[in-house]
Amino acid sequence: MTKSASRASEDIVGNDPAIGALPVALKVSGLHTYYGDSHVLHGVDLDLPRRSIGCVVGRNGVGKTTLVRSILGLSPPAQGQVHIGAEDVSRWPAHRLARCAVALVPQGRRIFPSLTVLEHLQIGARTGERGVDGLAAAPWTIDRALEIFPRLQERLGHRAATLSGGERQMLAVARALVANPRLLIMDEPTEGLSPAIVDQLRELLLRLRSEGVSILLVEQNLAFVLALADRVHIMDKGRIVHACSAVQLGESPEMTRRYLGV
Amino acid sequence: MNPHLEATGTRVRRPLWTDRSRTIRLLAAVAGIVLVVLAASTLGSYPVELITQVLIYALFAMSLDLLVGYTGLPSLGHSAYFGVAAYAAALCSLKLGLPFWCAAPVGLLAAVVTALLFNLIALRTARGYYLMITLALAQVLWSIAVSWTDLTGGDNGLSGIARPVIGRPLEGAASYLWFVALVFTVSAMAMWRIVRSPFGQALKGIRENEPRMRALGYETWRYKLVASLLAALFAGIAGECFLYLNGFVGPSSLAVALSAQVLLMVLMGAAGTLFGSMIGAAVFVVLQNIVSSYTDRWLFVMGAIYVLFALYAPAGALPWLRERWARYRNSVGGNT
Repeated sequence: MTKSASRASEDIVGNDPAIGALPVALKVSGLHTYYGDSHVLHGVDLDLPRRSIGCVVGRNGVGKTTLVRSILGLSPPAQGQVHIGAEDVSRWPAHRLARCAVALVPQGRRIFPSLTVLEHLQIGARTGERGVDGLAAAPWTIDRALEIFPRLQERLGHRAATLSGGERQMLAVARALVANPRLLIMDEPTEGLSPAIVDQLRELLLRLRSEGVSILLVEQNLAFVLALADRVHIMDKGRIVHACSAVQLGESPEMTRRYLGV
Repeated sequence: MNPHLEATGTRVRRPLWTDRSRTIRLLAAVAGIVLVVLAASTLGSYPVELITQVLIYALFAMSLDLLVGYTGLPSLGHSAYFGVAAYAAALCSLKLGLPFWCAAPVGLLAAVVTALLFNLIALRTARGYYLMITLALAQVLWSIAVSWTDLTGGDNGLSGIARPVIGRPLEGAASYLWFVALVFTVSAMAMWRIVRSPFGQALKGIRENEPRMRALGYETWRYKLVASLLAALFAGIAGECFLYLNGFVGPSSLAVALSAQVLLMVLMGAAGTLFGSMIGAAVFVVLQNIVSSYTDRWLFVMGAIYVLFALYAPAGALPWLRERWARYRNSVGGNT
C-alpha cells in the first residue's frame, strides 16, 4: 500500500465513542458527474462520520448509484472532491481506493457467475490482507465470514451462477467483509431479500459499526434505513436535498411522501 | 489443503471432489498422451507427423485460450507470436550460427517482447477493438516478413533449419514426436497451474466483470498484460516446435488465416477450459488432413463443419460431450 493510501485508511479508523464528535470518514463536496452529455450529479455534498451508518435514500433514477460509482472512481466526477479521512481521493483509480480499505457491495450483487463461492472469497481476501491493521476487532478471514453465513460454507465449491438471490447477496457481503474494509459502501443491499435475511443483514451492519467500520448505505427500504441509520441523506434530481437523523425522517411523513413516494 | 487457503490463513473445508479428482484427471491426461505417442511410434511417419502437428496446434490453441477463454481478450493476432518466435530462432540459427539452446530462448524472448509492444497499444482499448488492433499489428509483421526479402526470404521463407540435438539428433519423426510430447506436457501443466493459481482466478474475474475487479483492488491492466506475455511465451514455444518440425518458416506462420484457425480451434473445443482447446485443435488438424486429401475445396468443408458446431455445439465440443455423457449416465441410471 502506498503511503498516502495507508494514511487514508488510518484516517477512517477512530476510537472516539460519540458519533457526533467524530471526524469524517467520507466527505463528498460539490460533486458533478456526467454520462456523456447527461448531467447526473449536480453538486452533491455528503459527510459520513467515522463509526457511523449513513444512508442515501431517494426514488429510482435520482443518481444514487452514480454517486456510489463516483465516490469509488468507477465513474470519475467532472468536478468536486471526495475525501477519505484527510486524503483527497477524487482522482484515484478504483483499484487504489479499494486497497485503502474501502469495499463495495454493489447493486444487483455483481458476482462472477463462473467462479465458485470459495474463489470469490479468495479474490476478496487477497486485497484485504493489507488492510487489517488498526481495527479493534479480529480481522475478517474467510473462516469468520463463513461463520456469519453458514449457508455459504455448504455451497463453497459451487459456481456462483447456481446460487439463489439471497445466497448471492450473502456472497457479495462476505466478499466485501474479507477485504477488511474501514469504509463499507452498500448499494441497495436488501433488494430482493427475504425478511429473515434482511434482519440478519441489519444485525451484521450494527456489529460492523461497533467494530469501527463506517458504512454508507444506498437504500430504498425505508424501514431498514430507519432501523439502522445515524444520518439520512435524501437525494432528488442529482442533489442531496435534505439531511437529517433517522428519527427526524421517521417523524416526517410529509418528507417521505414528497421525496420517496412512501 | 488448497495452497490459496494456506496463504489466507483459513481452515475452510472443501468438497471432496476438488483437488484429488483434478490430480487424477491430470495424471490420466499425461498417461493418455504417453499412450498415444507410444502407439503412434509404432505406425508410419504420416500418423506420427499428424500427431506431432496436433500437439503443436493444441499447445498454440491453449496459449490463445489463456487470453480468449480466461482473460476475455479476443485476439486475431496470435499468429504474430507463433511466427516471430519461429523467425527469430531460424535467423539465429541461419545468420548467426547459434545452437538450438541459444536460438530457442532468443525466439521466445522475441515473442514476449512483441507481445509487450502489441499490448502496450492494444490493451488501451476495449474488447472488440482489441481484436481489431491485434489483427492490424499482426498484419504489419506479416507484411514485413513478405517484403524484407534480404532478412526473411520473403515468400520463400527461411529453410534448412536443423532439428535440435538432445543427446542424439531428433531427425526421426518418432523421436521428434517424443520431444514435442514432452514440451507439450510440461507447457500444458504450467498453463494448468497458472489458470488454477490466484493469478488465474483474477483473470477469470476480469473476464467476468473487469470494473468489479478494479473495485476489489485489482489493477486489471497489469494482470491482462502479464496474461498476454504468458500467452505469447507458450505460442512462441508452439511456433518453435513447428519450425523444427518442418525445418522451415514462411509468412504463413504470421498470417491472419493462422490466427483465425487457432481461434476456431479454441471456440470449437470450448474457450476457458484448456482441455477443450486441445480437443478443438485435434479435431481441426485431423479433419483438415483428412478432408484435404479428398478435395481441394477443403476450406469449404471445414467452414460447413464449423457452422454445424456453431448451430449444435455453440459452447464448444467439450460441453457438448459432457452434456451427452450426463444424459447417457442419467438414462443408464434410470433403467437400473
